Amino acid sequence: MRGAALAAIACFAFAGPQREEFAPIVLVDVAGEGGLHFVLDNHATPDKYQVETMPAGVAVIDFDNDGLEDLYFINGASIPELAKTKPSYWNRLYRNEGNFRFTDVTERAGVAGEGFSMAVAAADYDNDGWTDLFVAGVNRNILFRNNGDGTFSDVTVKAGIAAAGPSKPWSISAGWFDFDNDGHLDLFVVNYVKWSPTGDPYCGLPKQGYRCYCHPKHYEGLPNTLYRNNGDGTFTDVSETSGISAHVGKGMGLAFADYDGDGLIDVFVCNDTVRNFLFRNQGNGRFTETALRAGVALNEDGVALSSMGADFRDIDNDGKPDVFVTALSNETFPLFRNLGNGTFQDVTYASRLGFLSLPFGGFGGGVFDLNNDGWKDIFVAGSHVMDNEELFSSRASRQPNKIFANLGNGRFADAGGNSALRFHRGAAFGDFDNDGRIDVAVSCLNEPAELLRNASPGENNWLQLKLEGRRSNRDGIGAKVRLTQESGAVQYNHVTTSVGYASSSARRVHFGLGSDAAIKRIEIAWPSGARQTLDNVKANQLLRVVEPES
Amino acid sequence: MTFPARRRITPAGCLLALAWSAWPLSGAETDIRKADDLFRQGAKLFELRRTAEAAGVLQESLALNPNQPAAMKLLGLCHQLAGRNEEAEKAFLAATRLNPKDSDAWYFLARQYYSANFFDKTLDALRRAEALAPGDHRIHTYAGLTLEATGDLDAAVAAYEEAIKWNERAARPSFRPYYCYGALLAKLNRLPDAEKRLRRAKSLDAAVWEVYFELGKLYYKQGKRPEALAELQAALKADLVSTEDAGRFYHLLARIYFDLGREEEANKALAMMGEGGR
Repeated sequence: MRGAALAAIACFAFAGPQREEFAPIVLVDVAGEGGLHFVLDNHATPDKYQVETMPAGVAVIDFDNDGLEDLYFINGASIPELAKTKPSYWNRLYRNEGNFRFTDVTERAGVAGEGFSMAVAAADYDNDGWTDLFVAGVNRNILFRNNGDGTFSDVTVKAGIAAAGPSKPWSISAGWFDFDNDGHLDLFVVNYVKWSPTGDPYCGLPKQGYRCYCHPKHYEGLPNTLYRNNGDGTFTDVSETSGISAHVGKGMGLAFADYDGDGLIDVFVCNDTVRNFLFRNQGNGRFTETALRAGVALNEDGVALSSMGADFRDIDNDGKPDVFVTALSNETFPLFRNLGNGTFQDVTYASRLGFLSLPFGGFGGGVFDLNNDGWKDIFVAGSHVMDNEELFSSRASRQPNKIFANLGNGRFADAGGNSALRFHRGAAFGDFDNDGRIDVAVSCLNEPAELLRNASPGENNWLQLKLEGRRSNRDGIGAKVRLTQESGAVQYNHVTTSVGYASSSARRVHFGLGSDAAIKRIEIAWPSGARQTLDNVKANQLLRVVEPES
Repeated sequence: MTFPARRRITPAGCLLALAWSAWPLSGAETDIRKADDLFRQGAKLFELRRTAEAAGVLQESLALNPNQPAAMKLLGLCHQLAGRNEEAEKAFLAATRLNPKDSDAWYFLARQYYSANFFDKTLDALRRAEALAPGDHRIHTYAGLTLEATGDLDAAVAAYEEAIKWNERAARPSFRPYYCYGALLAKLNRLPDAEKRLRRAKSLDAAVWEVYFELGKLYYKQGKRPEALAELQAALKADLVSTEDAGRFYHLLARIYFDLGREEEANKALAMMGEGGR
């Protein structure tokens, strides 16, 4: 489907208080045209090893600081060896040469990785100005430090984050955040289930072709891991003292936000068919798991879904981060609206996302303003978890990506996304051509990855901020931005790279501005506590903002 | 659950049977008789909810005489209740082949397809059932559920309204069309319409916890927490909530208590969730 428009243009005649129209969103797959030929090799077998269906993520990073967002794709390995025995299993780093042309620089960079990889989390953990990579995988995690010369070094052992012996978990997602606001990014690693290549039960029907990947109930869950950054290139495992490891789940995606406005970043972790976690940061090095209390553990029916990926972002411009989750067909993609009193309301059906998403399954996903109209939309990398679902139901295994346009009135509309039907997995968001429109990279099992250039028509304005911390962590992760447009409209966003499933998005903060060509005021609350205000800023630029020293 | 109708034996039929019984039976006739006895035995076991035993007896019966649509249909139900989906589908399909004019067989087949998420096949089977029994509200209700799942919401609404129309003409109307329709209307944010249907469902059968749960959800959505609480408490008082459903029920109860600032009761409700919410 190269070069074809992926998203339908949908405009309805009715406009009014119940707004039904939206600016078109058009995403075009340009991966092959630009030299991006990545195929995720998951070593699919008739034996249906559970790990086969779960990879993998993708990261949008500017590893060489040339102002162009690059791509890092995560890859599988042979099974049962769990080894990258051939180049088709390598993780791949692609350098953005401009104009959506990419060059594979994996070998030179030294980031092919080892083992069966699952996820990537990108950030500058050592505040040296170069983005580093953490790769999570099955029994093997890797920290690649960016040397600043186009190469990376494996510093996993030196950093003290190499799990040893039988405690090596299947890690499936990870993210960087500064939980103690000390200016050093900490690492949250999400673990899935206890698994070994010899331990998969037989699931499905006992006839040829009907074996399927097992329901997570067949596996024992795992607690997650939190590493505190010591600020000297090493980390301390604080899973126990922080209270994180007291909670056993079957983790998938994770996302960060300060949902209660106390200046501390909280953690939302999706769990697969068991209750989700919301770890409220208490500010004393400890977290309280409060998902049930907050109303994000289960859907409104009290059911634990096959939660896959998440984004934790203000979707209705009220200044309070909401939670969006992807799940499987027949479950819907839940949306939990932050009510501002520490609790959330499940507005999946009220927002129309319920019926819009019911037939679909999704892994990666994100909440970004794809048409720059001032309202964040939703993108989902579509797929079922089974590769033979058609034998068991009328739902499809290979599915399209989906776009849900935010109508600005609490409701969403189907904005198409009828891309190729594939086993889409991780999705990462960034602006690869610096045109102010958010593009999307999507990983696919055993088929070419997609690079979806945002070709949405229209003259809507935009602004991107690249924050640079001084007292705060250098990436500014956790910084909160309040933006007042020329028209008086107010929007909120925050710096995070942890978006969706197993993936890492660009750290820039993006705003669509609609017809407003200027911004009255930008207010930034840095993790250090510093406040910064910028007045009368022009639209349509990538603005670098450095945290004031004092 | 609808049970298959018993065979009605007329006086003339009895005389004929007596006359036949005076003659020595052929092997085939003996088998048919035995099969018939086994079918009755299976039906009795099914009524007693001893479905595993019923399935065994029905299989014996069908081995002796495969030409028994009612036995085949009942065997399908036994398989369905035991979660043996493939076997259930096969049995219902066989039942429809043995008696293509049996609307119940098509309806049961449709339910089987629906539970396995084969929605196109469900609709096909429901169409066959509807052609035979257009006034069966169950068929229209399942059509509503299936159309909901396929995202054809206007058609789902129409199907539920049709179901309600026929249901109201029934001697003993069922709560189910109102319950299913009310739940859909709530999802569509048509809350007053949803309430009307759910209240009617409750008036028809006050012993179904799901109706209280839907009403509780509806009031909770509207911010009517005391009303929501009253619905859930009524279900609890009537001891309607089974252990397997407790997790969902207590989850909503806890949310309501938290919102009402009744922390202690909320925490108790959370504790009652146990593994139910997992």
